[in-house]
Amino acid sequence: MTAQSLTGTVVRLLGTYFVTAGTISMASMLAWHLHVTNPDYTHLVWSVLQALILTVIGWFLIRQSQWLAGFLVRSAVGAEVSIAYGSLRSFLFGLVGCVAALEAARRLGAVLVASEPAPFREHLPYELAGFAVVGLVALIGRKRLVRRYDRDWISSAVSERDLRGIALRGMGLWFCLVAVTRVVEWVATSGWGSDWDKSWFPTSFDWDGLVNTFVSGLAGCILLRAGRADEPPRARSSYLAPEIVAILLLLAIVPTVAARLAADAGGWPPLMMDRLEAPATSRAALVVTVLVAAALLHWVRRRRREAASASPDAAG
Amino acid sequence: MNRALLAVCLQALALYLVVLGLLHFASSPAYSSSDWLTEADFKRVLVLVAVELVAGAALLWKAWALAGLLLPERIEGGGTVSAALVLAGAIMFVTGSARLVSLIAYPDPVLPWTSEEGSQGSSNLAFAVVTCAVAALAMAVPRMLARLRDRRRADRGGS
Repeated sequence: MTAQSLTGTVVRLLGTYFVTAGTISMASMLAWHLHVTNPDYTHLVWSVLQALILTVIGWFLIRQSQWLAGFLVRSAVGAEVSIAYGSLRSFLFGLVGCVAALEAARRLGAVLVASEPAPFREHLPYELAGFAVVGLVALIGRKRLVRRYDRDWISSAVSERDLRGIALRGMGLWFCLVAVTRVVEWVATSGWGSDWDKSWFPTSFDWDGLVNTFVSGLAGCILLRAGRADEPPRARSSYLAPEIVAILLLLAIVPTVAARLAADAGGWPPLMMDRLEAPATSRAALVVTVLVAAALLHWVRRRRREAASASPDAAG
Repeated sequence: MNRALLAVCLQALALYLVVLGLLHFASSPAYSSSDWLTEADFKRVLVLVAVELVAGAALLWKAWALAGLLLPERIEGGGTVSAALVLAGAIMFVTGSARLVSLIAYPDPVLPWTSEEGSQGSSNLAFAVVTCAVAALAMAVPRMLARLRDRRRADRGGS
């Protein structure tokens, strides 16, 4: 593929993200204002307008991605770029590892240099350890994982269509998992089975949350379907999208779980972070998210092993 | 290949910053009229957004040149990690420097995650400085390592 087509694909994906995020935000803002007893209409207009602008910009990026890409890479137009599956995978894993390692370094530096307040300082080593573990696993596991799979597949070139399909499916899976985690959180709050007749959802259940979850799930399914239709079979069998999403989920959740468990064990006061302040509900959601991510990784690994054993080389 | 991948990702980051920056500027009247944001907070947010916007525009314009500048010419072995490290560093540098500039312009007496007033301004500033330093180091590491490797190879060749 050319440098221009690679840029065009990335611009189009960014546009897809903006359209999805804008739609979700618009729907939940409208739902929230319809639900509250004394709505602030000025705030409603601004919030919806903001989400609408985001959606329109996203739509513009999708429609004009090639023109924009030509404008952005005019100095390198025509330059051929060949990306192999192995390199792309290595780059994405490396990025996850580097972000986690840098985050750990930044927090460590803040503890050493700045005079942070006590609760923050006490919890920090656990969050830091979480980031460091995720970063190291991503960076060290990268080489081992790349080595393990079919060499032919790993060295084959990624086409523009492959890349688009992988990213669309990854984005779809991400939004779907966000919706699933929210539903699990609500079920945990409502006390599954204990008071079934009263309400399936908790009494403090919010409408904007429901709409947000529904639109997230719907958008996720649409993106998954679009990615699947767009993606050639070879790219689909790479399972790169679910693998990266699982790693990203673990990166986002593991440090929080570590800090929460440490706070529980030490009897420390909760942090000012929403998810950590909440009681058993959020803890259940966090644990479920980790389990979902681990199950996803296990599934990817199993499917890859099956595909490798079914390949002609393995049979020969 | 790594240069192209890094440049494209940097441009995506820049585009993201520019779009969000414009969006925040467009909706600033809503923030200024809200009761949960003080005047100093609002000004700080404006400075933050302005810096992100300028950084995004500069990055958008010079992404290919920057990718060539930060990555070693001859990448061996861990080329993809070098590209990832530079990208992660760039993301952190943009957010850290925007925070630093906004804090210098309008010092923040209260940290967002503590209720202890009046004494935390310096640590917040220190946090922004540490962020910038870590990010700058991350962006410089690939070239530093490549230069070290070249020097070692030259020494070995000479002996």
